[in-house]
Amino acid sequence: MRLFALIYNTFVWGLLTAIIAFNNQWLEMRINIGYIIPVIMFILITAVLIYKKPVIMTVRFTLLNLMSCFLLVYFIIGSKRLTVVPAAIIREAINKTDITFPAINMFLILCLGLGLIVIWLWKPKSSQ
Amino acid sequence: MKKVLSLVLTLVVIMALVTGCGSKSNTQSTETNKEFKLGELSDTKTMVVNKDKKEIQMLAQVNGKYLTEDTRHGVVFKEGTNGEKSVLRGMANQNDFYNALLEISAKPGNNISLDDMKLAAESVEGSKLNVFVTWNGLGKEIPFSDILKSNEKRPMDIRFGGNIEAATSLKTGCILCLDSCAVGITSDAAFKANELTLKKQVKITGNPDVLPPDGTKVAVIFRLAQ
Repeated sequence: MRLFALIYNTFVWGLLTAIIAFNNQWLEMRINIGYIIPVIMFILITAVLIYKKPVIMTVRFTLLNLMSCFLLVYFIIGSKRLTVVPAAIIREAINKTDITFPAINMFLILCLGLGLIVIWLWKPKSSQ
Repeated sequence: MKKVLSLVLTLVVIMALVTGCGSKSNTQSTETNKEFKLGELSDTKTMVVNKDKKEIQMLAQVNGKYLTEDTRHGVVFKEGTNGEKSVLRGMANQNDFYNALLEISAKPGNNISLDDMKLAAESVEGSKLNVFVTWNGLGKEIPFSDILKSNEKRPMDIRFGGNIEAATSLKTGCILCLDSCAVGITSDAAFKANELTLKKQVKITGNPDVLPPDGTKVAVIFRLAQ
């Protein structure tokens, strides 16, 4: 379960980094910004796994992380672009450009919500 | 108990994933069975050349991302490296489009080099083209400039830049660039080479008040100006 919480939180950070990078037009025009998400996830998960002390991402930490990242994204891109930019990044990353933005947004909300419930139910501890 | 609940939730997520992908596949297969048509264009005939009218029609698709984001790409072949960076995803290859322009007797300018793209000093030359857009239900053709929104309006001056060598080697897929370009087959001479990126004064997006929703297929009509 520690790994699930780690994957969840690093995905949120990966998406946040991708959204920040998206605002750099030079970068956005040259690379598939969506690839930033798995790169960030890989780096952070590897760093946590090789760190000697166990890193526990509790439900409180995860909730605070999700909320602060959401607020940060809201202030960076605004409400109008919020429904387009994250979905466009994910759509381009998975190379499924025919999926609509509302479908991706709904799926993202569902996954983030259910993931949070799973972490809340399991309550990650150092022993797990 | 918690483990069971977690397993159930995980299964729900997996089911949602499978259902989501499955419904997409069903939609796709239904769409595949019923071929899309727009005038003479269709999913299997993505470009039509009319030598008498000196006109090329190309099937394209609205990219909703650029209804809020700015870009310097108007139309790019969907499989090009810039295929997801334009207001419209072109369904036809840039090399075929270049040959089609030669077929209607358009003359390439070939006057912009890749070095010029660092200076924003030169304007693209070549035969002038009038570009229009239409889609099912619109009932008319509208100028390409109408589907764009800009903080500085300049009359569009689309030219056949040529650039086939750069287009072939770089494989960007660029068909219509919104400023003068060393790679795009056609580009807008109203803006100097790479001006939109270098000067960052003018921001161009798709016009959400005019364009149909994300994913809608449209026809882009290139006519050689007399």
